[in-house]
Amino acid sequence: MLGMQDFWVSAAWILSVASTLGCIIFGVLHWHYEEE
Amino acid sequence: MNILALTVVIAIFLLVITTLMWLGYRKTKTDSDYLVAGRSVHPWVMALSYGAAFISTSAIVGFGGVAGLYGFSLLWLTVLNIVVGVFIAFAFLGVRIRRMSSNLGSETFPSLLGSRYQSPALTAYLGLLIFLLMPAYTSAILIAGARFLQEALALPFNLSLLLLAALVGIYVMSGGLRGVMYTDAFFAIVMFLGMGMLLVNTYLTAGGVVFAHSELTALSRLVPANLVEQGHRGWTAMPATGSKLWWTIVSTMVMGVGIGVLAQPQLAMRFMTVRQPRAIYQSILIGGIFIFFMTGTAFIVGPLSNLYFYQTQGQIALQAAGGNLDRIIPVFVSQTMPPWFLYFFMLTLLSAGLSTLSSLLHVQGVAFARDLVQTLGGDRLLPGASTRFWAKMGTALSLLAAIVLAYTLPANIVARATAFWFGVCAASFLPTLLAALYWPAATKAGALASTVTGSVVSVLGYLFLHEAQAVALGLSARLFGRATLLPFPWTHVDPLFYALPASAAVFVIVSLLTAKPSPMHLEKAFRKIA
Repeated sequence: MLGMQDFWVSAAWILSVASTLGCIIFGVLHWHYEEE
Repeated sequence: MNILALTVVIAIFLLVITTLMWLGYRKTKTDSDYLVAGRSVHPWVMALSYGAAFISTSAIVGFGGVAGLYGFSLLWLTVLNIVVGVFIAFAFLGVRIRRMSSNLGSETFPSLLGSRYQSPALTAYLGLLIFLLMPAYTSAILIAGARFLQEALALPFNLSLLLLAALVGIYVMSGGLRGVMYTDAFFAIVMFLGMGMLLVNTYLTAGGVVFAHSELTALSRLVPANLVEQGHRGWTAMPATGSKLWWTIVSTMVMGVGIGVLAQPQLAMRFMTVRQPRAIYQSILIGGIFIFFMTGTAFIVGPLSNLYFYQTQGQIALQAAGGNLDRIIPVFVSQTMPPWFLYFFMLTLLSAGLSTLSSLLHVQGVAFARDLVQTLGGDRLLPGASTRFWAKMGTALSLLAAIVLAYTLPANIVARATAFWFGVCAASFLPTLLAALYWPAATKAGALASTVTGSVVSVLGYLFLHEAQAVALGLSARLFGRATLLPFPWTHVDPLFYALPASAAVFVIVSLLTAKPSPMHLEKAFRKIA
């Protein structure tokens, strides 16, 4: 996958991009977070 | 490099730093300003400062060079850096650290834990650990920065070391945490631009993402025989499971550094600087992007440099760098990027070193002042001296210790000292920190027993079992006539792997057997938390 020899290395590449996107989405969703 | 152009670039760089330092100095009027930047830092500044303090020159050049040798498997560290070092650290620890430090009036990492467990002894012990053991890590960052200046500016090593130490010492002592965070934010922007351009250019030069990976996969036959014996299976594959290389990458680099970041005092303190928890959630956005472009770029460019060096010179990266891992990234950059970028990249690396160094010196100074001198009553020796006075004295002493260590530590110590500090931090602080924030029934005795167990077991592990540190320090050989006391795999299993479970187990057992904290104290500590 992605030209890599090993599935676990492809997974690391994909997860590093996906986790960055996750941080962006989380940050946007909580931008106006208000305390109770 | 053109020395005149380089001098102008560095002069502008220093001018910006000086201006930001002056701004920090002007806004530092109280002890709270000096210790936690008045708890009013902008979320983006906090996120950038956290990232810049986290990522040092050795993380880019040192670990990037390691990735050039071992391959893309290091990308698991990027995954942990983002998921654990940013998301979990910010969302699950940062918000609670911010609230609890405010509830208890704490302004340092050790005093937060000491107040939570109502134990001045814990505060003093944690402060002592930071003040005694952190200089080894500080020294490693100082050495890496001085080596870099030595090569980039053709300065003698001694002069580079002293210049760097003086520059950082002055701006930490004058601007406090506010000055440190302002300059960190500037450094982070420089680092982000430099590493971002490097990543894009590397993939473009190599013909695109999938094509570049495929071409590198085809080069697995070029892996040196001694590395194949250790478990290397190619730059786009994980090492053979259970091999020496697998243990080194998985236990020391990925898990050790990836988990160790959660308990770094200089990073945990960043959460105390924002006005409200919302700022921490907002800063996750910036933090995630920043860390991806730092370690992600280093761990992608490192392996792909093999492709470039093979296509242009018929060599793998290690050979092209003359056998020195730390030269892989600089040599690759100097050969593939336009000449003007070399100046920018130099500032990128300088920024990475300065930001980490300043954060470490600040936290050591604060640990000396608040957690050691004031907790143990030493401030009575000089009545009237402010916390800032003691913190500046602590910073000066820490800087002196780091300079002395830079001349006494063995060669090639940068990565080893980094792994040592991250491992000791995780084993000593992590169970106590997690329980402080999430387990109201955790007790003072449990925290003390866990912290002592974690620090003693991890330090002994590095001194006598883990080959990378034990051989370099040589204490085991001197005392017992053997480089390490146990055979493989213990020589390659990071002490974090057994010190952290031991520390956690001791915490739980002792806490279950000892008296619980008073409900009134817990109500105060956990206000707006649980």
